[in-house]
Amino acid sequence: MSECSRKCGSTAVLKRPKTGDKLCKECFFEAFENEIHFTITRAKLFRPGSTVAVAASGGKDSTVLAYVLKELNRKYKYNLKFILLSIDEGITGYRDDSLETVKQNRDDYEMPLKIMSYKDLYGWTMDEIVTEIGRKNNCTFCGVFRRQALDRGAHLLKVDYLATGHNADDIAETVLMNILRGDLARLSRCTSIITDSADGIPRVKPLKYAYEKEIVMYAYFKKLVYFSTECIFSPNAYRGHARVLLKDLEKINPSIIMNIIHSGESIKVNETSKMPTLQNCTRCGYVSSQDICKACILLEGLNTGEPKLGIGKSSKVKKSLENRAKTCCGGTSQCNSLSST
Amino acid sequence: MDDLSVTLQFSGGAELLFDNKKLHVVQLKSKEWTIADLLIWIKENLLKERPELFLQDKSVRPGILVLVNDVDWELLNTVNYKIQPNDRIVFISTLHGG
Amino acid sequence: MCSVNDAGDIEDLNNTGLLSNFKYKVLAEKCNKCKDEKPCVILRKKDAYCKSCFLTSTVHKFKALLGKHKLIKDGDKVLVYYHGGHSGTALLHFLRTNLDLNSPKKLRFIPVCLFIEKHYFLSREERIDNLRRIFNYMRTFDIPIYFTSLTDYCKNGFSENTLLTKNFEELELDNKEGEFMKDLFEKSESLANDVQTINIRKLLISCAKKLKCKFIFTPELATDIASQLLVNTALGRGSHIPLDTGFCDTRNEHVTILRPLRVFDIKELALYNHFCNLDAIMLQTDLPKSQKSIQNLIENFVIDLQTNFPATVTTVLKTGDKLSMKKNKNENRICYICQSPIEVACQQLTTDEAIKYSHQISTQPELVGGDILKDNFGTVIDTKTCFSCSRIEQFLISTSTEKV
Repeated sequence: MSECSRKCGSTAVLKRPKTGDKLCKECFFEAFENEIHFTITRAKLFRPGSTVAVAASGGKDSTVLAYVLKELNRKYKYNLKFILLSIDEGITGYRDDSLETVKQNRDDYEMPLKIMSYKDLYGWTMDEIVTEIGRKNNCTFCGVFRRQALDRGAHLLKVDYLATGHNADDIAETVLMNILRGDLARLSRCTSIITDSADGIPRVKPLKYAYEKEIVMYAYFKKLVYFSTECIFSPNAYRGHARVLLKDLEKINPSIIMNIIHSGESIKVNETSKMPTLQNCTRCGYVSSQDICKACILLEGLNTGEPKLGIGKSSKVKKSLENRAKTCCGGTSQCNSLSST
Repeated sequence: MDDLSVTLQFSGGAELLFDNKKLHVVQLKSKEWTIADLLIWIKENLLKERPELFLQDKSVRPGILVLVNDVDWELLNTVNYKIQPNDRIVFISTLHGG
Repeated sequence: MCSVNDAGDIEDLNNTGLLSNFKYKVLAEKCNKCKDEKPCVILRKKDAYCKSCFLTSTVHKFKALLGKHKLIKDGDKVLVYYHGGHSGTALLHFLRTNLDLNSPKKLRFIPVCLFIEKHYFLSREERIDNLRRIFNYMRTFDIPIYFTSLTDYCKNGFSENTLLTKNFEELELDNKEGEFMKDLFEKSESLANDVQTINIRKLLISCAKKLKCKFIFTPELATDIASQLLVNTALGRGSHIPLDTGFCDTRNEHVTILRPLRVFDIKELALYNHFCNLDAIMLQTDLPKSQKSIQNLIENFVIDLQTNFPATVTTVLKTGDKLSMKKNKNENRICYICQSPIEVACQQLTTDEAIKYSHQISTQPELVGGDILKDNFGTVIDTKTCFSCSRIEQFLISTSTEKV
């Protein structure tokens, strides 16, 4: 029987994956929560009096995020107002259950809930998309749509911040993946704790330094309700490799996760490297590095029976769109091109 | 059909698995031989130790290059190549240290 | 939960097909280059060459890389770090056949080879055997070779007086010196490997200075560079990637380290050696490659991933090539262990601070409720080591105190 490292007299019940210290339950809760408080305060994540949309998927990360934010808000008087923001992709079975969990969060944490659905935003559910295009590129659609849906939801709700549940493992994995894919633009941004959205609503990651294992342990010991299943549609192949590597590295030494995040923070991309400039989509106004944002391109493809339109290298997509523009009616609503939502 | 006479060459450290002998001239019993068949033969007749350091599944271990008459076996359909009389097959290991 | 969380992973969907389904492009009929001869080599599953085009383009690649950077002046001495294998032999052959001080088209510098004896896990006989083989081998290339011992260098406190000799028999090969390194390896293979890499670099520079060489050639291949990049990331050495994986390492003001083989993979060089009738020396390998170190894990990961996605190594290399060192407006403090610039925090909250806070909050309950903004959680201004080397410092101190 080990003693709690914080010398509180209690017996330790767990070993922290992050530091290796043996802690009793209460001390673990305190350490975990205070680290998030440290992150929020030191990184100056929120201005007092602001409203924060908490991206809620019903999963462990968002459940713990919502719970801890509420706790810390009360304890340390951040003076923040929270809204849960959830996305319904329209995947039967998967999303129905997780939405139930989010509704439970709404009741348990006494936070208002707003659900944005792909059907409302884009006119298609993921189930319908998969029927149309099969399972090969569906993750592309979902990822693009979800990101936009969260931003659009935050905009609609007129919140000051959008808080997501990205944890240390997610960020480390993204660093590795962007190195493997050679995506310098994302590599330079993915470790930022605040990412400015050009439309003004910053995204923050209060769980940036929280280990996934500890999030799971926290949820377990606090008996928080969450929903966990793999998406029924196939997961992205490359990210899977990065994940396996990260897990293997973690087995050797868990501090590697923090090392990777530090590496991501410390790198500098050449000034001469081509980085995309941000502009507004000419169709829907959403922020994009191209004239027409990815979501609009994908939707155009879906709506005109050419679902492969948005898939593949953006240079090829551009060419394809140019060819289509030649047949466009020039704004007189007589062709099939997507109108903005 | 006559017996098939083939020269086998091992280098890059692979020779260590074959009695440290780099050159082997072998006679294969008359029939159609593919490299896949040859590999099985090598395992049963030449490999002195640690077959797993040379072979993997039905092929050679990744990291072992194979040339037939100085042509990369990847251009010859790898294990399915049909061995001809007096072919010179070279196995170069890139796995050993330096 | 869905793991796709950021704007989809679009471009690499072309990369998701497993190689088992990969069909060789048209089982190449003609050499890619001369379009005339039948190909005898295929590289990276797609580039087919005939023998003569392969040989000329391989040599050309080597010369082009050196020529692109135009760093070495005529008559400069270059220390060539030799450690056996296909890469070592190919490099020596490139030099031997392309050097001529009197010929304007040839390379006009003076190479000197160095072998660092560091196989303290082998028996004395095996170590001497390695040395003798190398000594004899070098004669065939007509390039002078020097020998030095890594353990000697570390034992003498990285002294400039460490033995550097042309006569390998003068080296002390008493295995007892390796005991300290063995302890390190037992404690943490990853950190021990990191320490060893740093020490080897220091020794190379020390020998280069002694032999009046302005440059050092190290024989890393493309896969080694890709692995090193990921290893740096995993060790927290992300900021040093341009120095540790780029063509040049300019940390030392007198000696520049160059990596002239970083565009090659081992198949190219093994075949080059074969076609030139060169027998590479394979040294007795010492430590069996365990999965317990970051370095071995990552090396295997890269090799495996490369098999299924043949663009992996080149993509990682390109990523590294697009990174550069941060220029600090104030001073440029250098880590005393690895000689790299110490990272300067450029965000409100650094990972380093977060880690230190975690350690403290897990052991000191009195910190709860303290003034977080005011308290100095370990952002020591006077730090003498970079992020990664601070762990090495602790590691080395704790290992030596355990020994006592």
